[in-house]
Amino acid sequence: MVSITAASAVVAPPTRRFDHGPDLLTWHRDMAAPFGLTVDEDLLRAGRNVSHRELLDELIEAQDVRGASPDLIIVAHALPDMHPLFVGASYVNKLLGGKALSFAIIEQGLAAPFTALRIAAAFHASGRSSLSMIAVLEQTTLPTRLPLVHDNELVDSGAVLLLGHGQGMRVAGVRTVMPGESVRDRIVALVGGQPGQTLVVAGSRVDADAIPDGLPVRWCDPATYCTSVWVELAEHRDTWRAEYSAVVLCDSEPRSGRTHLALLAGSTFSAVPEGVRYAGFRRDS
Amino acid sequence: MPVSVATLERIESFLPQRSVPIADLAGTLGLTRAKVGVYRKIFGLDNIRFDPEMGLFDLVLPAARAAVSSVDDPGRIRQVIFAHTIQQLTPANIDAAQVIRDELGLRRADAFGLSQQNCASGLAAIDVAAELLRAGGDPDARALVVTGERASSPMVQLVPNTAIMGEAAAACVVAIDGAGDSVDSYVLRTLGEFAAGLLLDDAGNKQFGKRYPQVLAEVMRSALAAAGLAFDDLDLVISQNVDTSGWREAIKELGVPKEKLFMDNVKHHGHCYASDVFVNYTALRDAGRLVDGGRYLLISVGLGASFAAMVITHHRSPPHPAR
Repeated sequence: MVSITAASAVVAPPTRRFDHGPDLLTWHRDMAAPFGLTVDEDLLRAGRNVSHRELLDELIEAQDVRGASPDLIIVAHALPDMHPLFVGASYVNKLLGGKALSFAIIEQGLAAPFTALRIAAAFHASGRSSLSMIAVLEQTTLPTRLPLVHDNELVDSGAVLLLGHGQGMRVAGVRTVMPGESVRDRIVALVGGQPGQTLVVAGSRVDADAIPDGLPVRWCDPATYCTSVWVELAEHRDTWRAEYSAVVLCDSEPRSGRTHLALLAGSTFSAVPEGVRYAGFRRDS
Repeated sequence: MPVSVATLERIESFLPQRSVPIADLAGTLGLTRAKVGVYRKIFGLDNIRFDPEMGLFDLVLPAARAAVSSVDDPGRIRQVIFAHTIQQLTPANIDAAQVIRDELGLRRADAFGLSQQNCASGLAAIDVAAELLRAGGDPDARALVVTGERASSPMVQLVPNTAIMGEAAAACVVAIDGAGDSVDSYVLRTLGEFAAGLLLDDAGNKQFGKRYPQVLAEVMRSALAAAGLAFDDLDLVISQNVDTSGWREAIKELGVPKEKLFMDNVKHHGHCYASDVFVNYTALRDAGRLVDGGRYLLISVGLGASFAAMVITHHRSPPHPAR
């Protein structure tokens, strides 16, 4: 079972200069127009203009991650990069040894990093990966108004996780809870008989009633969206590993109504529930 | 324990009806008459399929619907993976993969986009789908890989000195140990020094052009070796519709005879992002040119730069394959 062996996070890095050339602005306009949207150049100029490349540069310079040589790199994001032609996954691949299979998982809102975790676990399970990297990226400079971003004052942020066979919390289950199904019941089913030793890390859009009674909860910064639970994990994983037997990452995607769960088990977490396939995609429905 | 094999149970494709001579695009793309002549004579282009009135989902959904209809119970489709070249095809308020999933009526399936292998993303999506299916362990489960994108802006329609992009879409039903073509090997190599893709400067483009034939040849050789084959064992190489000097050099280096290359659609369709390798597959299949038990090498190269090769064995399947 694959473990989280290293991690890094970045939140609100310094604002960069607006550098959209005329070709890129034309592309934005041509892309948005068929969907009835108009590009607002002022939104771009007023944005922080931090690209995925800049987030990646900072994330892989962190001490825990620097020098790693993963064989699988998955970039996951909900909001697009400012530069639609720059291939961040290839870029970071080159910086980390150039031997990895690399791609991005997108168009799934905040579910994208949960899917990336499933994919990484699947590659580990089949023996095709021994060290994988997931980079969860969020840049907030957009050419069209998006209430999710602009009404919530999201900040630029990112997290990197390295997954391998070393010491660290094990990826013990990834679940999707469909709208209308009970998130609370699914968390209880995931953590089995040890709820008192389990921490729930909840995104700010999770319904508070979804958290089972008696479980400690850490709520994420509402200024993050896709990166929320992952930034918290990267920043606190060592402490949590010492204090809890398991951690449940829980976040609710406002657009789909689906809630996503990941169970990370510490060394003392013994009751991985029957039927859990850590790389699986089934939903217990 | 035998290794479970990824299978391509059904592949479908779709092309817009509207065919445009590349000369008609010269003004939009800023090409001189002489340059158009280069694209015609050197790169083999003539017409592309291109319909500016057609929406993204009008382009993508017909092939996807046809592929879904081949599955006896669409509820078995657990993933819908929309693989594409340009990383953003819709404004940020629309998740294209979710729209495709909902339009196909596969509301309980997981849907996500896969990108950043550019034109090689379609083959990568098959690989990812297969790993997820293997890990899931349900022999009845299927995944649907969908490709297709519009040449929506000059910046993404012209690949200088390589191709003028046309429009197409495709869809592929993936299973583990199912009916249909078996995936015998898949090899990918990424050269991250060319991550700028279409934004590479002249020096970067020159360097990429220099590395292209050698790396492509290596990837093709590796895919064949992983499948336990030699070039003589292949029935056909099914590539994307790019006929550059780099491609020709790679083929020459490998000594592949011309009759083993399917390049008929370069002239008629142009390069169609991540879709043309599947479009070419269906063209061959529908013309009866795929042999039962035949071995085929699928090739896709994505700017950025990803070189992908996949060996498959064709198995004729019934119209509605049962597991």
